[in-house]
Amino acid sequence: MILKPFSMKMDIEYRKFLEQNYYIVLKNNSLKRVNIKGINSISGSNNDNYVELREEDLINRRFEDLDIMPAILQNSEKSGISDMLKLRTGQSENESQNDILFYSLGSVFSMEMTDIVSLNELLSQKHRDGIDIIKDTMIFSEKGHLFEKFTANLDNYLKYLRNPSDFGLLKQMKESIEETLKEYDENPYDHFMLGLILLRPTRFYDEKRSAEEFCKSLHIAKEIENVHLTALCSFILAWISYLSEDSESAVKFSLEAIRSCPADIPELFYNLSKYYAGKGDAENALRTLNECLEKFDHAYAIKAGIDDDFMNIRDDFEKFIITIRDQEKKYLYNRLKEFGMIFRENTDNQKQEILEEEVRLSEETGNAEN
Amino acid sequence: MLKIEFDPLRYQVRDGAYEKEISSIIDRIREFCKSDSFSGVLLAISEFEKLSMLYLRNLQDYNKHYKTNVEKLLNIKNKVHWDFIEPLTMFEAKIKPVLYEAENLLSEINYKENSKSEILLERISNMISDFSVESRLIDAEARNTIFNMLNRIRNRISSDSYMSYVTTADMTGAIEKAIELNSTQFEKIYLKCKNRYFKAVSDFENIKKNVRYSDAKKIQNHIEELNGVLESQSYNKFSMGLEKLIVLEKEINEYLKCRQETIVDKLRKEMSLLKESVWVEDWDEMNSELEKIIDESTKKCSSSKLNLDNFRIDQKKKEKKDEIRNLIKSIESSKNSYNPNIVGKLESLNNSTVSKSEFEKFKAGIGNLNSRSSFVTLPVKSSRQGKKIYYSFLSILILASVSLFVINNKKNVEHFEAQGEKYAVIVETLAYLEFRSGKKPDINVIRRKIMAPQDQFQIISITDSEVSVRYRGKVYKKSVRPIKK
Repeated sequence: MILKPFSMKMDIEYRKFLEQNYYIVLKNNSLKRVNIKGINSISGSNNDNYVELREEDLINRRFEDLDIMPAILQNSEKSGISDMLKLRTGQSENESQNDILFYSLGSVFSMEMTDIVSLNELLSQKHRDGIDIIKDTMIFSEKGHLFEKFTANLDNYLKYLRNPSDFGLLKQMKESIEETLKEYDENPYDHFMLGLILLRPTRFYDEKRSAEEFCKSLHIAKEIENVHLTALCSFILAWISYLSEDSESAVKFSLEAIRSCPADIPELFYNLSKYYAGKGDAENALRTLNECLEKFDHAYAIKAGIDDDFMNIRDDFEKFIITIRDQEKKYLYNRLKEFGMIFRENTDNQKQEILEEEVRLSEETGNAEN
Repeated sequence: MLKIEFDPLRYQVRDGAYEKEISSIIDRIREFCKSDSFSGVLLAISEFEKLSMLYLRNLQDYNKHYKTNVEKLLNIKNKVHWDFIEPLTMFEAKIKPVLYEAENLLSEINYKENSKSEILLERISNMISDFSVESRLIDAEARNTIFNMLNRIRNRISSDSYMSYVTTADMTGAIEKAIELNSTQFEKIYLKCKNRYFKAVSDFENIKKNVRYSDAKKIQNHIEELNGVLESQSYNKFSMGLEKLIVLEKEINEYLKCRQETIVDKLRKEMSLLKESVWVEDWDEMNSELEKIIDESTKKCSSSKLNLDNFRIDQKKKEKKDEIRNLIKSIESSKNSYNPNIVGKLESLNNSTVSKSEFEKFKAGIGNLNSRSSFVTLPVKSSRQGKKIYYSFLSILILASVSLFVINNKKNVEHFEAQGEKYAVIVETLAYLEFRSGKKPDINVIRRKIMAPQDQFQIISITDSEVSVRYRGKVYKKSVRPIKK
């Protein structure tokens, strides 16, 4: 499902926001949003002095429960769209394995899924070459054993994501990565994983340190010309910049990521649009959002419709939505016209005219026959 | 109190006036029967008769104005079996109000009102028919399926939201597939059936006069049956129609073949008669063209091109006549070369088989003479002796050409005369043999035994004393030898 994205305009700190929004990976590789019981269990075991939350404390983020501009989506359509989107996280009767990747999730991706999706991306073929280069380099530098540690840490991280209440495992992982980095600082993936750990809402949460690790990873990724990792680091750094209310940097990092690998991460386009909207730049926000809708996923319109940052450019956003709705309407009608289905605007007057014409013709025929 | 009950399945009254009248008769019957008197029963019987007549009249009106039209309406509804929801297509917008009005008229408890629906229903039926051909949605089932698919889209977009439009791709894809499939079926089944049907009808029209009444009636029945199939709006029925068409085409083709053979014989005869009216070269060309046409028509089993319309026969006849006439004129106008015999012979060429090349050779000789003549008449200085030699030479040349032509023609005449005499002898021999065996000779039987061309040879008469034949326009007679007793 599409969830209301975090916005700096919300009345909550990002860490607190994260503490009530967890996803876990199930055995069939589907993503499941954790309920209140799970939230308290995970947050309680990962944080000191955690005060348990109640259902009513949670921010309502489900698009089905929120007001959306009717030009985007009518209330009557919400359940149908929701059912359609569920398939992307694998939460359906279909038992087939899902790809937990940015592209396949599209607008269903939410920033609190960043580590789950990023690590799944690292396991995908497109990152395989980059990781192999690092492996060869480490073996060449007689640090092959450290690469083995990296893969063990990656496995552990994936294990942890299946059971995020296991803080001990997270701690062990963090320490192992830090030790590895002391010995060999040149593996961008170690920095990347550490950056992710530091962004989780645990005792280790540290936005600033996380940003430093991602910067290091980005630096090395650029050096070894790994475009996918470059894009991934820039994407997360843009988000951290946004959290630090540095919209300029957020835009800069996003543009850098798009330049590196434009077709990889739909969320990059959405977030860039959101950053522009947040600073009141309607023209760039809507241009980028339009690109995102056309290239990746029309449901990003719903996401933007419930995103507080887009309320910053509400009037322009509404006009934009009406325009693209009319374009789609025209497109559909033209397509149906190609099939010979031509529609007419049918007012009551026109109906009456048709009827009168028919009756007139009938009478004429009747008279002629008589 | 007399108890009268109606069987609702049989008592079919849907008109206020009838209802009222029937009720009043029934009231009167009740009234008459109330006294339980003889006169009351008699009066009641008379009312029963009235009731019976009235009910019969009602039933006729019921069937004519209500039942028939309701059945038509149901039939129409099966052909447009989907909900008409907004936004309406042009077709739906046109048909919906009329359909609604027809339904309204049929819901009235009044036969007069019911009857008004008939014209509307007819109109709707025509509209559906036109639309089904224009849109290629000729099959009612395919049409209903596709419009129900369209309704899914219309339901989706009824919210008029951005998401409603962008989530219709799979549905439009499904419609596209259904339309493609329908289009293929429309061409492969409906159009094929329709085109073959019309060809069969047209072929039948051409041969109708030559077909026996009973066969024509049978074929006509098949045609009417197939016409019904074409109106059926069902690919299944069209497919079955294609099978029926095979039978119909076979029946018609047999007659077409017979007709074709008759036409071919007639054309060959006509062509043969033309041989003397046109130049041989023209005739050869026309004859080979005719044979080609015959070949093609036989292959296609069609008589439509079996004619001599494009052969410009009159023009070719005129060409021959004109050229001969011009030459005659030119000879007649030239004092030096005029010879009545030559002119006579030239005139006879109009009815003889002559090639243009031979004629041209002859003409060249005459032309040469005339041009030389005019040349010599020119006032140029030349010796008298030279002129003499020149004229002598020209005279010899012309005489040689004319002689050659005349000799050639004479030889032909001699040859044909000998041939004619030979045929007369053959006929006489055959007739003699018949007489000798005590039979009367049959002209047709004897003619068939002689291989001479039909158009050139004819037996005029056979008597016990003389046979008379015509060969190439000339009559030859031969006495029949006496029978030895």
